[in-house]
Amino acid sequence: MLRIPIAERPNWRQRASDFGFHFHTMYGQPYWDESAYYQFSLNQIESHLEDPTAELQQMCLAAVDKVIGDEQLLRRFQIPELFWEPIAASWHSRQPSLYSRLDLVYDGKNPAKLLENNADTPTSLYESGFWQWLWLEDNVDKGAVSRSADQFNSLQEKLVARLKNIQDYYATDDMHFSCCQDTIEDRGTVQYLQDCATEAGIPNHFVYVEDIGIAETVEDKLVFSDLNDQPLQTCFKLYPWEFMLREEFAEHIIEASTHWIEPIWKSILSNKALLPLLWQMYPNHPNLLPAYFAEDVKNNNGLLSRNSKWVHKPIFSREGANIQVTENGKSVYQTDGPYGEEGMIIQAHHSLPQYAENYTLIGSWLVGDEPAGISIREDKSPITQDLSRYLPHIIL
Amino acid sequence: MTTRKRSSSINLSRMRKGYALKPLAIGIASIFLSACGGDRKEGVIYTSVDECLNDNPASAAEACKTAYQDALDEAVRTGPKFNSEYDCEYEFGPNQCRTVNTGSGSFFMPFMAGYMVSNLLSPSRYHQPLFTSYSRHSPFRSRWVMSDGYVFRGDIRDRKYRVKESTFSKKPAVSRTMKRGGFGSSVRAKSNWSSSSRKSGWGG
Repeated sequence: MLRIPIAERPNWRQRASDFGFHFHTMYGQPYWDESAYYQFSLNQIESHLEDPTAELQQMCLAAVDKVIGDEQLLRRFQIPELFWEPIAASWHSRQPSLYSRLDLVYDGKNPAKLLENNADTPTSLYESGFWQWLWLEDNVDKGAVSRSADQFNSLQEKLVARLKNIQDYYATDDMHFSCCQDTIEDRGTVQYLQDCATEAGIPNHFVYVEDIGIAETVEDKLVFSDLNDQPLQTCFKLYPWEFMLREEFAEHIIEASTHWIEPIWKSILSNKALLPLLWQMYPNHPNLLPAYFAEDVKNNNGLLSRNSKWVHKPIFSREGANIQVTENGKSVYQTDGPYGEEGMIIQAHHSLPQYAENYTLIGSWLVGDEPAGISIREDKSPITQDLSRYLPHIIL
Repeated sequence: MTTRKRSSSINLSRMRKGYALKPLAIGIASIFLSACGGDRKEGVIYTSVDECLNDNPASAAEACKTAYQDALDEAVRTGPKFNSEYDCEYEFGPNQCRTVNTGSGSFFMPFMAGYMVSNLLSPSRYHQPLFTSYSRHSPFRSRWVMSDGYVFRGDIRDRKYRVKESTFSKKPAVSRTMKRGGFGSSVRAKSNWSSSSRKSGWGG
């Protein structure tokens, strides 16, 4: 695993504009960064990232199975009681998931460690599935990267196939795609999934989350609807289940005939309570970090203070918000944010590897249950937030 | 290497975005503009037929309506067209675009936001459809823009402005929507803490 500087493609900004990649620069700072790339060996990709990703996914599914039937765990995961049954039903009928991203700490040598599972609303999909793919094509074409270089990235191919499977599973005529207003990054991610749906031959439409309505069909059944009063038969939402289950329309989710992507059982996977549960189920697994529910160790001063460093995370945190790092019981780093009321977990601190003064984090993608590629983020700060930069990679 | 670990082929032409068609009306628009520049004819912008009616003698009623309708037709013919709703909304703002079907295929274009008339009561009447943008990424934001991309100086907020409901072409409804806006409140609540520095999505 090497970080190798390379010349930028001179025309890449024009190319980004041609392909509708509008968020390569965000908040005045570069997000897409092609001044360097990461190089992996095939063995590193297959043995250290791909295989563990598949195994971690199976472990996560076993954890979902355990939570579904366990009232105490359902409470710890902060799942509102109204949805226990629907979640179990969704799980037992194996409603298909579309994709997930596991965040891994990996340095090229030691076992990759799972930091968290973004199972419900992962972004950076377009840059991974398409844009870094195009970067490699362009650089191989002009001879800047070896012809024998490959990339761990079958995302687009798998997404197209998976969307088709989901269409067949629900026997749906079309699909809606949805995200919140005023975020070009999310809109770009959703547009990419619409492009994949088009490629799969699925008619698709867009509606903002805020514009979704609840409607009666001509048969007096409930269904969610778009701004043209068309029913959402099957809807992809880049919007967290933990929000949806607590909002005004939550009560209609159960009765309405709309099928959701991701399915509702994924509210268990995208939850940070998953981390302590995994550690309980698979103690000392090489790809896991020690993790506990904060309330379980609150009076265990030994664990927290004894020559140890812990990361405290809210169960529902996103984008690195409300994270605290403690060393020997004292706070050494903290980010603010709106989360934390729902409970906290702690996870053993594991430093991100540094390459040229950058902290490097690997996102490992799953489509359905299959590993489908990686993405690489770099940050000047040891906790990756949404201002980190995205770098491409190759296998050689 | 025996098996490739990346997508074997991606159809690049289908991934391309951006303007699908060049605006057709550049010639017309230039004539109109040069007329403006030369004879200093007054062009008045209305955002609805009613605005036009209220601003003119009763004898102009028919002209107001015809000019509006002609501008609408012209908007479809000459307005900016995009391959994807995303690109159209990137330029013109959320929910500011609609699908149109033309001889060359199906496209997304912004709603006509107003129309400019000149010489309303004369046989040589001018009318032009106008657009505006609600997108903060666009140089058209809160300004009047013509089909060919000509941006008028000044600010749209100097005028009374509202989106015409009637310009929304709705597909036939199969259901009756009783209520909207029941999702998204958590985002509004949780955005407050970071809105001063940035606004970002809820993806991870």
